[in-house]
Amino acid sequence: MNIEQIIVIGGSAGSFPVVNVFLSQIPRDFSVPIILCLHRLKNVRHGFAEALNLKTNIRVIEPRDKEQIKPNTVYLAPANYHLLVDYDHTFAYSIAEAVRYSRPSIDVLFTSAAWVFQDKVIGILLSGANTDGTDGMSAIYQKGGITIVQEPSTCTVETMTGSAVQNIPVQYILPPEKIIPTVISLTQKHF
Amino acid sequence: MVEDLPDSEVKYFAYQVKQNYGYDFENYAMSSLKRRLIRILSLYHLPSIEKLLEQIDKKKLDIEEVVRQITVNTTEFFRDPTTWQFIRSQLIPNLVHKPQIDIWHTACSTGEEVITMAILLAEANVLDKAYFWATDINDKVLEQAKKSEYHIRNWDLLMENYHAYQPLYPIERYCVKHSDKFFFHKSLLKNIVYQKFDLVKDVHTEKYDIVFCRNVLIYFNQQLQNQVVDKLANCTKPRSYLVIGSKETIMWCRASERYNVLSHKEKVYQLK
Repeated sequence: MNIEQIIVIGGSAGSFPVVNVFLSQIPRDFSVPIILCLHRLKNVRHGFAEALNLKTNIRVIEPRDKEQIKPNTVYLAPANYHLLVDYDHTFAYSIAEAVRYSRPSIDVLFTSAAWVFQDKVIGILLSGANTDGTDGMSAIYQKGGITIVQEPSTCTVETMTGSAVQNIPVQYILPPEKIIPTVISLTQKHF
Repeated sequence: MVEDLPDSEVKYFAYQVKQNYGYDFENYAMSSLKRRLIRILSLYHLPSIEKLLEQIDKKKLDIEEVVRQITVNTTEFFRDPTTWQFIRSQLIPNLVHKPQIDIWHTACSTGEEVITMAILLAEANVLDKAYFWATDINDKVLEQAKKSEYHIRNWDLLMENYHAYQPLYPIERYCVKHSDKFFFHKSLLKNIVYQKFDLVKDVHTEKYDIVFCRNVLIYFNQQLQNQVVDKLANCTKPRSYLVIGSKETIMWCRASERYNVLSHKEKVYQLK
């Protein structure tokens, strides 16, 4: 299956409600794969994907190692592992050191997505309390992908988005309610 | 800082290291390997793979140290506590009656997993007849593992996992704190043999009651996973066990047909 676009979403403190709204508004036939990297408690291994599933029309799963990326699916990075995408369009895990105090790290996911999918990536960075995500958004920007950041003033904690906005040219700085319509217009031809 | 490396550079590194030093990274998962190499370049302030290879060639950088930096050595005592609960309740009862229990930790890193298993067997009063082969691709981490002393900064995580495991005895039964370190008692470790072993290329024919290979397969591509899981299956006694990492699966491997799944969640398999 040829992947024409892919969406990666990163968030930390204060991002959960935004993700929930995002997922609840995605059309059932939205085909572009979505990969979520949200910082969360390390020994909470189960239940998070289930909680997100309740709110959405699309299947939310934690991928298996080496699982093929498929359309019409939301993938969630599990706690205590980095999640990367690989060149054969599969997922790969790593338990390497935390990056910006984070595992999973948004930088790790976003950067690998930029390497593999180049300008086909749409990166979305949400509310959060550290600077994980800035390097990843930079990688997406440099490969010609699209960068979207939640407007810092609308974030519960604005460290993460503030850092991205300061350090890289972000194409879309949006309040939460504008994110979905923008993503839909950017992906329209694909579903 | 280098932010991306062309695939050709990563492959060139793997080729050169295989030719000159005998380590085979050619079938490692590409994105992960690339990330490790970028990190190494940044760590040693080197501009390119060419320079990195040059430094290794001139012995300004020790290849063993570079291998240690490429391979991920993250480990924890009682990592994934529910997995250890499963081993205690479902595997150990089937082993206690054996005259001898043979265990292979295929990527023991700094030794935490071996000590964890030794504690489980001590709880079951069968430690004396258990024999551990603890291997790793890297000499440096094996040296650390042999010392079985750990910095006190690892203590809180040990205690958090240990409590989650719901142990029979307090941890002080097995180890002692001294200044900024903690040490495990020699009696716990007396049957452990530490040895260098490269899962990718080394051959082994002994068979074991439990083979641990947790969070190793994730760094390999599918072809290499296939090859390594075959090797692990060949080193497992009939009706004995393979334990892999919680996000790993052998379902894509041909050797999966040789196993029954004992727990999907804890990733414990039993050879048919």
